[in-house]
Amino acid sequence: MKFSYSLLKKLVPGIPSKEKFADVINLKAFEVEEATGNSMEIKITPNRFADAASHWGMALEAAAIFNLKTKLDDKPLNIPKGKGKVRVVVENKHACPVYVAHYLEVVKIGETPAWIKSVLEDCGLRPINPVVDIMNYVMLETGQPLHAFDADKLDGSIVVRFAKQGEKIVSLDNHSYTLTKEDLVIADKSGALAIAGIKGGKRAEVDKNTKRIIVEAANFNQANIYKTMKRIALQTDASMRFSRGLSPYSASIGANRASGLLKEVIKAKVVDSLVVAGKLPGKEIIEFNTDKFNSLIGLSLGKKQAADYLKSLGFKIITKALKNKNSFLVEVPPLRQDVTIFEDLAEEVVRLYGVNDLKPTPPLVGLVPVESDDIVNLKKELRTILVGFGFSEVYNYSFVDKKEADSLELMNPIAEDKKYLRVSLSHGLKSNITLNAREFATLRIFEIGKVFSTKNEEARFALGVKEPEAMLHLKGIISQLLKRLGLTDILMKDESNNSLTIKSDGVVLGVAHSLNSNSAIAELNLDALLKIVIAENEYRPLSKYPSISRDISLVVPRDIKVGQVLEVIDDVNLNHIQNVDLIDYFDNFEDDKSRLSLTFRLVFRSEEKTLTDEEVDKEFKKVEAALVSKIRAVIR
Amino acid sequence: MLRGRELHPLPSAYEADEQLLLFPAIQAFISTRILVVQPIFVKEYFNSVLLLNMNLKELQRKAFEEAENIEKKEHLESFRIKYLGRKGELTNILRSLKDLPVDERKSVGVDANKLKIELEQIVAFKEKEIGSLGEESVIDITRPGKKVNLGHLHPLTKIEEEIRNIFTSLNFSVVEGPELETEYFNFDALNIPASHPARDMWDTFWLKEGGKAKERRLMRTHTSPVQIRFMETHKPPFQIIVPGRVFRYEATDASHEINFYQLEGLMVGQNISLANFKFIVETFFKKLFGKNIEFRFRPSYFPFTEPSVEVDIKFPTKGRGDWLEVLGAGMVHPRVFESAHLNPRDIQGFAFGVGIDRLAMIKYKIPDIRLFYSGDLRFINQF
Repeated sequence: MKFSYSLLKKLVPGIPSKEKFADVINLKAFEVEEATGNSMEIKITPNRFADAASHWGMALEAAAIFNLKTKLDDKPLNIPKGKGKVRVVVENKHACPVYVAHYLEVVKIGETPAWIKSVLEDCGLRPINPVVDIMNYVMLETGQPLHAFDADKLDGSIVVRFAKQGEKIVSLDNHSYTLTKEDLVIADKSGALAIAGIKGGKRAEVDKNTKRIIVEAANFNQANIYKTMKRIALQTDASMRFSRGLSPYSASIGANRASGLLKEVIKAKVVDSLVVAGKLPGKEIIEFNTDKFNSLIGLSLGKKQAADYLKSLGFKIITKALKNKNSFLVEVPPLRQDVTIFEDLAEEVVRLYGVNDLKPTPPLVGLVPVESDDIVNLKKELRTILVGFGFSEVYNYSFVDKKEADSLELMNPIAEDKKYLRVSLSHGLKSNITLNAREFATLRIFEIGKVFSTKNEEARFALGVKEPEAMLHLKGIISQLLKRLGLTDILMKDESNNSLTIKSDGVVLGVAHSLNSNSAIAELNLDALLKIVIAENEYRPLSKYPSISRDISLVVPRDIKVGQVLEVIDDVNLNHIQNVDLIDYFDNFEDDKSRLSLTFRLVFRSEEKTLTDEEVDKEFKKVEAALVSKIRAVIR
Repeated sequence: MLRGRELHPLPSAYEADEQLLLFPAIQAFISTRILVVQPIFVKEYFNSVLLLNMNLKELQRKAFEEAENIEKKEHLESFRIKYLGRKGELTNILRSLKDLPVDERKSVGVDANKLKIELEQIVAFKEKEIGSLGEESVIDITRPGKKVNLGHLHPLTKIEEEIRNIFTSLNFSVVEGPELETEYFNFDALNIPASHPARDMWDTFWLKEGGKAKERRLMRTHTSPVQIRFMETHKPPFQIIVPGRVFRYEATDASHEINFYQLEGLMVGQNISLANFKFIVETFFKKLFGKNIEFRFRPSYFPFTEPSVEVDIKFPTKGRGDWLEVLGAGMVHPRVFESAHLNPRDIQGFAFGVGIDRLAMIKYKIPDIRLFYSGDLRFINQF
C-alpha cells in the first residue's frame, strides 16, 4: 500500500529521513518494499488493515516506534442529526453493521487544493473533483472508505440490501456488472446506486453542479465483500480494505473527518446526519502475564517495560490488582481488531522491543532419539544405490496433459497441458529421455515422487534407461537394487511381449516396460516396497565348502523364451543348487534364425560337505532330462 | 588378499589370537573356511595341534609363515614341492609314519593328514589369489583414466539432504505428509478461515470433485498441514522438520513455479521460546551458508503463528550485499494447538517454513527456478 512520506511527516513531526524511517519500520512493524520520491510502498499484513492501512494508523505506529507525538485532526465535530433530510434502511445488519450518512449543502464545488492533490498522487490516486478527492483523501488518512452521492439524484431512501439475481449496475468508470443474491448493494427505489464496499455507480455521481451531498461511511461484513470482490474480480482501494475487515468504529471517524474537510475546503454546510447501527463489539480486555511473555519470547522484561510498550501503541493499562502479581489487564484500542488474545499482545511488545535484538538462546530440552519416517530413509538409500548405478535424478511436474481412466482433474488448471494430476512417473521420464536424447547417446535417469489417482496418493520411483539392450540392463539393475534394499525373493514375470511385473513376497511392486530395443522404463511403488523391505540384513555363514559349476548348452526353437527355460530348471527342484545363470545367448544358431542357442551355468554348493562330481552329475542329468522332455531342447 | 569388508563379521575373540594374527592372510583363509562357522571345533583343533610332536608343529608354523609371503607363481610352486612334493617335508613325515607304533601312528597320522589337507587348501587358495592379480606388464600410465559413469543427484535432493543432516544433528526428526490435502488441514486447522484474504497469501490449486465429495481437496500450498497431522498423533516435546513438494497457482517466471519444495520446522515443548527459534535458525543457516552470514529478523503475519517473524540473510561478500528474504516463522498459534487437540496452556513452540528451491538457487547460484523441473541432464549433471 502506498503512503505519502510528507503526510506522515506532517502527522508525526520529528520522524527521521525517509530511508532511516523505512529501515526502522521494516524492523519493528511492516515490510517497506520500495521508497521512491515522496511515495513509500509499505506492505500492510492482512490482519492490520483495520488500523494501519491509513496514514493516521501508520502515524501511531511511527510515534510508538520513534517515541514521538502525533498531530492528528481527529477532534469530534458538532454535527446536526435527525432532521429527516436523509433516510437510510439497512436490511441486513450482519452484512452492514454500521451505516453513517452525513447530509451537506454546497454552493460551489470549486477546485481541489494542491496539498490534497499531492498526497493523492503520492498514493497513486488520480484527482477528480474536490468532493471525490476529499473522500479519497480521508480514506488515506483514516483508512475508512467513503462514498459521496448527489442527494438530488436519489429516488427516495437509501437502502442497504442484497442485490436481486441478475441485477445490473453501471460503475463510475462505465463498466457494467451483473450481480447475484450474494452481493450487497446500496440502492434507492430505482435500483442499485453502488456495489457496497467496492465501487460507486454512475447514477448518483457527484459532478460540478452538485448542490447537495450525502457522504456515506459504512462498515460491511468482511466475508461478503471478499466474496463479491473475488467473483466480479474488482479490486479497489475500498474493497481491498473492507475485504480484510475494518472496525465498525472507523465509520464515524471517517464521516467526521470528511465533513470537517468539506466544510474547510469547499465551504460545505453540514445540515443533517444519521447513524444506523446494530450492536457494536464491546471492549476487548486481555490479561498480560509478564512471566508467560518472558517464557514465550525468551526475555526477561519487567512488568512496567512491557506495559510501556503497549501504552505507546494506544493500549490502555487497567489499574486493578490481579491475583498474579506479574499480570495486568490491557484494554485494546477499538481499531486494533487483530488483537484478541495474549499472544497478540506479546507480539506487540516483542516487535517494539525488536525481534532482531533478541538474543539467540539454545533450547534446553531432553534428548530424544531422532526418529525419521521410514520412507525418508528408504528414499535416501534408493538414491545412493541408483547414483552408483549411473542414474541421474530428474524432477518433473505433478501436473500433466494426459488423462487416464482414474486421473484426478484440477478445478483451476494453470495451463491446458497441466490439467490432470500425474498417475505415473513414467510419462514424465519418457519425455525426459526424448529431450535428453539429443545430447546424450545413452541415459540412465530416475525420479522419486508422488502420483495421484481417484483411489489414492502413492509414493513411486521410476527408472528410465536408454542404451543397447536397455530392458536387460534395467532388469539387472532392478534385481540388484531390490537385493541391496534387502529383498531376497524377486520375481519378474512377463505379462506381455514387452512388459514385466515385478513382484516380491507375493506383493506386486511395479512394472518394467521395454519401449524399444534401446529404451526401457520401470516404475515401482515405494509404499509397497517399504512394507516388505527387510530393514536389517542378517549375516549368513560363508560356505566353507567349494562350489562346482556345470555349463549346459542347448538349442531350442526361436519362440521359446529364456523365462520358460529357467522355469523348467526351477521346477526340477535340484539339490544343492546355488545359482543358475544365462551366460550365452545366441539367436542365430548355425545361421538358422529359427533356433536359439543358450548356455546356462549351474552352480552347486553344499553347506554340509564338499560335493563330489558324481553327486553333481546326478543333479545335472535331471536338468538335461527335464529340458529335453518339457521343451524339447537339444542338448549340445 | 581379503578385503576389509569381508573381515568385518569376524568375532573379536579370534582377532585376539596372537598366533593367528601373525599371518593375516592365512588367518583370513582359515577363518572363512573353518573358524567362524564352528568355533568349538577350532579350539579342539588347536588343542590337538599343540599336542603334536615338535616337528609337525614347527613345520606348520614355518609353512604358514612362508605361505603368507608368497606373491609369485614360481614361489608357490616351490612351496608346494618343498612341503607336498614327492620328497617334501610333510610327505617325508607321512612316509615315516609307518615306522611308528600303531597308537602313535594313529594320533600323529590324523594331525599330519589334517595339515596336509590344509596345506593343499592353502596352495589352492594362493593360486587363486595370485591368479587374480593379473600378469605383470608395462602400460603407459599417463593415458587418460577410463570413464566411470556415475549418476547425479538432483540439486534439490542434494540441498534437502544437507538440510536434513543439519537438522538431524540438532536432534530434529524428519517427517513427511501427503501432497494432496483437504481444505481442513491446509487452511482451517491452521487458523486460516474461509472467505478471508489471508487465504490469498496462498494461491491454491483445487481439485475438481464429484458431487458426492464430503470435503474440498487441494494441492497443499505449504508443508504446514503436516504440523497438524503430526501433532494429532504425537505428544510433545518434539522437534521435527518436514520437507516436501508444495503447489501454488501462480504464473511461472524465474523465481516462481507451480510446484516447488518447502521445509517446515516445528519444535514444541514446555518452554520453547522465540529466542530458541533464533538460535536454531541461525545455526541452520550458518551451517548451510557459512558462519559469516548476517541475519535480520522482522515482524510479520501468518495466521498460524503469533508472534510471527520473517528472516532475511545477507552474505558478507561484495556483490551479494542485498538482504534476501528466506524464511517465515513464529510461535505456534494457540488455535493451531487446539486444532491438533493439544492444550496450549501446557505447551509452546515455534514453527517455520522455508523454500528449498530458493535456498538451492542461492547456494548454487542458479538463476531460474524452472531449471529444477526441466529434466535437462546438462543442468542436473553439474551437481
